[in-house]
Amino acid sequence: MIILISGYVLFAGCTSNNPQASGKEKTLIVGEMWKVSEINPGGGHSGGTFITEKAIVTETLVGADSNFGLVPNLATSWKQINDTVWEISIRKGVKFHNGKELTADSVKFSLDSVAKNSPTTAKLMDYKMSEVVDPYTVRIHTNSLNPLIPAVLHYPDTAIIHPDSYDAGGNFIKPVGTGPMMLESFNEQTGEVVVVKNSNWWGGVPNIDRMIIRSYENPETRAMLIEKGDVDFTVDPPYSEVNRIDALPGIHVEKYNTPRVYKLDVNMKHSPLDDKNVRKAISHAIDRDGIVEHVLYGVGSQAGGVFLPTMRWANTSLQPYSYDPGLAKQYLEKSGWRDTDGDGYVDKDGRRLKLKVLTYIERPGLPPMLESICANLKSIGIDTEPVVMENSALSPLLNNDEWDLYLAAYNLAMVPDPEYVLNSWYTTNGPNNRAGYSNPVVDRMIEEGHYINDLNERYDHFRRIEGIIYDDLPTINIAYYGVAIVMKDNIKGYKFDPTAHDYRIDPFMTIT
Amino acid sequence: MSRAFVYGDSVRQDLRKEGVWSELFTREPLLFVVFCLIGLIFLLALIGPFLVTQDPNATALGYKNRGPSLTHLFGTDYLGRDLFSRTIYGLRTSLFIAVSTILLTFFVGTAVGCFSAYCGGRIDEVLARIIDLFLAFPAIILALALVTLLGPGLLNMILILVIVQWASFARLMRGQVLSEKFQEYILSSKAAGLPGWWIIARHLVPNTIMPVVVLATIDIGHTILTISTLGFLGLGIPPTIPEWGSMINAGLSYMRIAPLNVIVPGIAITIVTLLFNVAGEGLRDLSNSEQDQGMVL
Repeated sequence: MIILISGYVLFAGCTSNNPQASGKEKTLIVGEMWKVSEINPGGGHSGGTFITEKAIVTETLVGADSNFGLVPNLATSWKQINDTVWEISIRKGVKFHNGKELTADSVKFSLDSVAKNSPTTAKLMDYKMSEVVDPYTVRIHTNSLNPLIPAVLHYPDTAIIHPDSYDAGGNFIKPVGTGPMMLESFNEQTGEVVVVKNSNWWGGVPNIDRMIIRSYENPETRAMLIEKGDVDFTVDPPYSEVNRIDALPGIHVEKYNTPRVYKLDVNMKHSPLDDKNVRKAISHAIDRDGIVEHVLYGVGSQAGGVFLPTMRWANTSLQPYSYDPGLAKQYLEKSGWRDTDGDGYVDKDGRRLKLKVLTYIERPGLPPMLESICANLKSIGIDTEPVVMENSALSPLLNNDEWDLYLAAYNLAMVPDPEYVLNSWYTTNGPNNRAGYSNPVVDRMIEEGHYINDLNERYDHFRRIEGIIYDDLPTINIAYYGVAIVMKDNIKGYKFDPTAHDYRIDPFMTIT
Repeated sequence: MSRAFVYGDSVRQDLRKEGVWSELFTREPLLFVVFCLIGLIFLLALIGPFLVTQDPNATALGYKNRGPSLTHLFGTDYLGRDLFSRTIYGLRTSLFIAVSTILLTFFVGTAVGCFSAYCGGRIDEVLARIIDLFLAFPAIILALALVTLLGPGLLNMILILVIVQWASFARLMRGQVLSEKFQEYILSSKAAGLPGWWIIARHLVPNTIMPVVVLATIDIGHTILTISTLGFLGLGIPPTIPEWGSMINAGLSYMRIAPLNVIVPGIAITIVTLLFNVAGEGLRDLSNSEQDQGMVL
């Protein structure tokens, strides 16, 4: 018996060591920043971002270039047939991981299931149905005119999976996609995901043979793991350690901007925040340069307009509001806020200007940024009551209107088009219009923009809207979100995808 | 009757005695030093605002994470704020919350425990079960739940800590009163027709309070630790009020490039908690030996 067991152990040892011994298999161990709980892109729980961008198992129909312009991916072209119908041509010769070919039927199946499972996606698409025209053509019918369809098809939750991903009873088993890596295992307890190379990928042969993704939610843990060499590739160590880690031998850090903005929502339902002068004062009181350099340690950049300047539709003439406490005080005085009782805080009609400022702890840049902003506001005489809690614990305060300013980091390119963000954040009935902003001109212009199909004209139109909002300040933009990618020096040629939610694994990076 | 009166009066007289400090100094020099240090800490908290030259919340981003210097005795934190003034203000926060909590807890706990034990019967039965219920709950979990429920803030913090801690005071007081209330002097007071409140206030409390005083002293240390724990977990005190636990929590991300962010408040918590614990222990030993002497008498 003992011989048998020891023999087995020996044998097991041999097999697992073999590929390494031959030195051929190139394994990449990734330290992911979020807990992995969902690997179904269309499951309705935002599994798309992980499985499409980080595990690179699935792919979307539409891709995006570094300026957020839409480019062909699994779809080779798309055109609008009439107000409510888009026709998508599907790339020929693409094979799923089970060897079957990508056809219009599987596209229809994927879109139907994501529309069924994910109300957000269904709403974004305004989805009615998909129609198979021929094996390589599918038509998407919407309930009303929706120029956003190609942009939504870049949203990772709409990634295409084969019907074999589900069993006969309609239960999800695993994602059978078309991407450069194939899923080997997913441990639901630990969240560990193992993917292996798909040699038949239509885009070329990946340079990574095997990738193990483990999640470590704590930034300090990720920093220590890459220092000790336990992971090869990870993101977002504590920002303060970026320079120290970069200086270590054998690892280096690359900093990029991601489509996310740190912004202060201003509760315009509360007096005196309905006063534009007060909002301007707040914006001019904030030391954005100091925040980027000393709070974010250079991981990020100062924000002017809401959109990243590299986005094709961004209004690049919008500069960050200058840090000018003197000007800020002038704005306050214009509206009658002065420090009459000499207590260091401005007041009006016997009332001190005090604001309740909220933020959450999940993103490491937010709490120190909030402290810094509160100190900035104090310097122009605005008193603050900061609240820093877990995201979920903030909801009661936000929902009961018990807040004045809300510091948060929001994604800007769920879909790569300006309409989505502007409509959702700034129209009177926008689902994420936390500020309670209502400007009839903006409402009308966004409505008009919906019907402009020509991209240049469309982007120009939305640039004008961005300019109006920049001046109105329903949200005060602080900084564009940065990501710090840490990898071992033996990983070369990593190409960052600026449209990715946090980061995208590049299948062509080489491990030496 | 005579024994109890002798004991009770002797304790009170001892406390009032003018030479109590010199006696403490000769009998327990270490304890004397500890009490002096605690006095110093209170003094530091009181005159803190006159002592520090810098606003504890004024950021100077360009001067972040600096080491100690003449202008910044303990260096600066991750936003360039002066760590010395933050530590002093943190002391004020901790002491203010801890002392208010202990005073309130002491009052509530003593009152409930005394009332429950003196009344006896059904009332005692019900109150004792309520006390058990509160004691059965792990303190930190109860505190966490309450923070989520009530939200952060100084006053809420005090309220939460009182809710978490009153039961241990009440239980101790109840036990003390239970063992005392059938003593002859109490029974004779009752027989003499004295009103209940008079008996409680004049006879029961003075003769049973000492162990609760000891508990209160030790609990100041515990309370400061609990405040820091809640602060460390990111709950409780809003970030613009300097507090040691939240200073450590926020400083963690900077620990490896600027360890003072964590070390300074960490040492502060250790020193203050240790002082109160040693004082409490010492007081207990002292009161035990007093009690022994009382017994002998």
